[in-house]
This record gives sequence, C-alpha cells and structure tokens, in this order.
Amino acid sequence: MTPAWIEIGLYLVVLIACARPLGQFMADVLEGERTWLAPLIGPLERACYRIARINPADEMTWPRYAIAMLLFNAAGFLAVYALQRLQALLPLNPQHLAAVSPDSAFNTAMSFATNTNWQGYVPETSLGYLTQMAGLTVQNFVSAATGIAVLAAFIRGFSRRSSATIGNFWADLTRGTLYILLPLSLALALILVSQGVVQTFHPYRTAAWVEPSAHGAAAAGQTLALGPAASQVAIKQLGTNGGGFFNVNSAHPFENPTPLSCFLELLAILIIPGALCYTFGRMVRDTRQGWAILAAMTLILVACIAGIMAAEESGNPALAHAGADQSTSAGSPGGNMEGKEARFGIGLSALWAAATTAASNGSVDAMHDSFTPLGGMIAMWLIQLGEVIYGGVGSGLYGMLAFAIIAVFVAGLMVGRTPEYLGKKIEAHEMKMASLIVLLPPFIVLAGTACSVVAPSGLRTIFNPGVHGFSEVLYAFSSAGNNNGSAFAGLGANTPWYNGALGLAMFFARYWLAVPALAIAGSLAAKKHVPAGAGTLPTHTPLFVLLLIATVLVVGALTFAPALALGPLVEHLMMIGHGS
Amino acid sequence: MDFVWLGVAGILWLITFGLIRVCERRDGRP
Repeated sequence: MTPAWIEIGLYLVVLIACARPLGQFMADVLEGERTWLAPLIGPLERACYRIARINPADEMTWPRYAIAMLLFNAAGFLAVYALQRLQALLPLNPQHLAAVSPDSAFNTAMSFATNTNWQGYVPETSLGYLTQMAGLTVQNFVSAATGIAVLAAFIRGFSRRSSATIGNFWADLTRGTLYILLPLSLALALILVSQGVVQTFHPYRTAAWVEPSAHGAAAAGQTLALGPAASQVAIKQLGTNGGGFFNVNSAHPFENPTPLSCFLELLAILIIPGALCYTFGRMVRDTRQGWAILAAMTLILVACIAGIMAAEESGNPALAHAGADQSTSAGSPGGNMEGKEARFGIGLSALWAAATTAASNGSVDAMHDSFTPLGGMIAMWLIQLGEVIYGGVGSGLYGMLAFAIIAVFVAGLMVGRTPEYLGKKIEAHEMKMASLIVLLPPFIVLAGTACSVVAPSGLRTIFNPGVHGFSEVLYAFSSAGNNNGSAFAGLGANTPWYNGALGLAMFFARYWLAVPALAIAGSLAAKKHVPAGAGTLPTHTPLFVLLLIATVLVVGALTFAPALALGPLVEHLMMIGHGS
Repeated sequence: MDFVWLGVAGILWLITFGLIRVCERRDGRP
C-alpha cells in the first residue's frame, strides 16, 4: 500500500468515525432538543428570535417554509450584490478596489447565495475585506444553514405522521447556524491560524526579492495579498462552499500551509454531509437507514478516488513520447504532476479533487484543468451525478433521498407493489417531484453547454479550442448546474455571457430542487405510517445499497455519456495516440 | 446596468414563487 493510500484510508476512517457523534448532535439540534452547547448559545439563539420577532414553535406548511427560504435567500443575494457594487465607498477596503461590474456582481451574489461559490472574479484584485467578510463569509454560513434547514424539513416528511406542517424555517436556519456551523468554524479557524493561515485587516505587503537581479530593476518586490482568510477558509470547507479567499484557493500557502491544515480542511469538506446521514437515521428512528445511505455514498467516492489516482499516476504518454521523464524517483513522485502542488503530490490532489467534486465544494488544491483527461472526467462526473455523493451540506442528502425514492419506486414496479419508503407510500406526486430533482440539473448543464458552444459570445472566451475547450465549458456548466463551484479554469468566464448563463444555472440548480424537495416533505408528512409487511422492500440492506448506487450511476452515466464522449474521452484517445 | 441584472434576479425569484403554486396544486390534497 502506498503512503497516499494510507493517508486516504486514515482520512476515511476518521470521517466515518465522526459520523455518529456529530450526527447525533445535529439530530438533537434539528429536533429542538437541549444540547451541551445550550448554556453558551441558548441566550444568543433566544436573542435572535426576539430581535427578528420569531416564534420558533410556529409550525409552517411546506409552501410557507419554501417562501421563507426564498425570501431569506433573495435578501442575501441583494446584500452581496450591493456590497460589491458599493465597495469603493465602504470601509475595510485598504487596496481601494473599485466597484465590481454589474454582471460579475450578479454572478458572484448568485454563486454565494446558492452555496455554489463559483468564482468568475480574482479575489485579490476584485474584492475588499468588507465584501469578503460581510458578503461572502456570511453567505457561506447562511447558505449552508439553508441546506440544513431544507434537509431537516425533508426528513420530517418521513418522521411525522398525518401532519400538515414540516417545522419552522427560521428556527432551523438559526439553530443550524448557531449550534452546528458557528462552533465548528470557530474551532477550525483557530487551528488554521495556529498553522499559519492569515487573519488580518492589514493592507497587502511587499516582500523583497531574495535575488533582486533576477527580476530586473522594475520589480521592487512581490506583493503578498493578505486579509481575514482563516475565518473564511474554515466555513468555506465546513459549509461545502469552496470559494477561495485567494485565487489559487487551497493550493495557496496562506490558505493551506501545513499537512495538518490540509488534513483538517479535507475532513471539514465531508464531515457534515457524512454525519447528516446518521442524523437522518436518528430522526427517522432507524439509524440503519442512515448507514445504508452513507455506505452507498462512500463506495462511489472510494471508487472515484481510486480512478483519479490511477489516471494521474499513469502520467501523460504524449509527454513521455516527447522525452519527459514521468517515472517515480527520489526527486519526483512520478506521474502527471502538471498543475499540482509539489507539497500535495498526486495522492492528496486526487483525494481533494474527489472529495470536493463529490461534496459540492468548489475549493481546489490542484489545477483540475491539468489533470489527465480521464482524471478530470471522473471529477466532472462526480459533479454530474447530481452532487449526491456526500454532496452539499443538506442538499446532498435530500438529493440522495430523491434517488432513494426513485430506487424504491423502480423496485416496486419490479414486484408489482405500491412502493413505500420508511413507512410512507410513494405515489405519483412524490415521483414527479423526485423526477424534477433528478432531471433538472442534467437539463441545465447540457442546455447551457450546448448554447455556449454555438453562441459567438460563448465561443469568444474558450481559449483552448477543440475537445479540451468543450470539456472546460461542460465542466463550468456541470459545476454551476449542480452548485459545486470548482472550475477547469482555462475558460474565460468573467464575461457577461458566462456571468449571466452560469448565474441562471446556479439559481435553478438550487431553488428548483429545494422547492420540490419541500413539496415531497409536505406530501409525505401528511401521510399515515404504513407498517412494514411481507412485500416491503428493506431499505437498510446491502441489496438496497447496490440498488441505490445503480440508480445514481445509471442516471448519471446515461445522461452525460454522449457529452463526455465529445470532450474528455476523445481527448484521452488523442493523448494515448500522442496526438495532443 | 444594475436594473437589468437586478431585474433578471427579480424575475427568477418570481417564477420560483410560481413553482411553489404549481407544486401545491399538483399535490392532490386540499
């Protein structure tokens, strides 16, 4: 076993070990029970309710819950848009950065309100500290908390019987932020600061060259971008957001300086989505259901990590043909190291790529654009599966549960019985809503890509013509159309066309999935509980795990196979034929 | 240009409120 696999194995063990304690804690929080943090956070929670005049016991129907969610997110969008457009007039802008253009402000506001964190802009040269903190970091918290709230309502659909209501959005949002995201982020931010991640309001500094003559007299030194990065990096990982404080994201030494910071950031990416599976099991009073979902997610994740590792370790035959040495030696880890941080090598780059694309986290520690065609394709495909392999905080699990509903429906058709899941009959309405959740993202991705590769405005900023350029556009829409946020990055995306089109993709991918999810919750909550009978499909068994995996893979594979054949698969064939 | 982009956002949110109504009507329950 290579050191990289030992590292990955340790990572998975710690991740799974955290699922139960954190999942139990989150279940207590979402069920409104008293937790050990109550003496500290309880007064703050009650103050929030008093100031906002909210009665947390006021139960909401699903349309009311959805309207509250949409209004709150609209306010977040407007706040981020305004901060970007007015930043030149606002404090905490020591670099005196100008207002962001309207189309870029639209894209970024949509990106952070929807928990996507697609970044069409360059942070260091575009956004002041106030915009980064009051705009982006705040949205990192509340967009993730919105996902947790929608998931909590979704689970109540299964756990409640003959109920017209699914909870209170404001209470779920507040408790998710204060009890789950805030304490974890605070702890992680402090550890990151101890490791060397910067946290300062000081203006950028200029460092003198070690060898001035090598850079000419014109360059007085190198400008080092600074800022309150640690507080943003912590929640960007925990909230499966991913938007870097610096442009090179988690490859930057001020964001990710040490092996410990790297491990903890990786853990932060998947820890909440993983633990939410256990939370689900607790809330439906059958933890086996949560473990089954977690098993399905983990099996696909491990297969994809292995696939990316194998693709990158095999290197690029075209480079070998040109005489480049890609073999493992004392001075080189071997394989395809183009676009990878030497500190991380292939193992941690592959793990990071798989974890982030599985989890709708847009952060990167290597250039996905420089991965081998198959390595990059696996990362892209993980996104295209609908961000349900762990997925975004909250959104990943309700997406996966939509797949589970489809899986039990398919199984019900096979044996000729009315499908049921967790004691609730799955009928036409639930299937229509689940189908919308599963089919809308592929439509957004494929339609957006198709338009961009024929429209002159879309073609103008594809800087890699040919199959790789197509892959870049497909990746961009896959990322936006599934609220991931990472990029192949070779595409010039900060244009009115891409800012607009990707902004629309992010909006529909978030809210046109959350609304049907809440509709399912409302419909299921109103139903009576059906006792399990001889014809009930057990949904905690290895058989169901395999059925769920097959459902996810068939939808993902069949939908995107033609598009992937036009991009990364052709590029792979060209590469092994030494043609690229 | 701000009005254009904010207008686009406004339309997006409005049609999503419409989606809630559509899903509600298709629910089949009172």
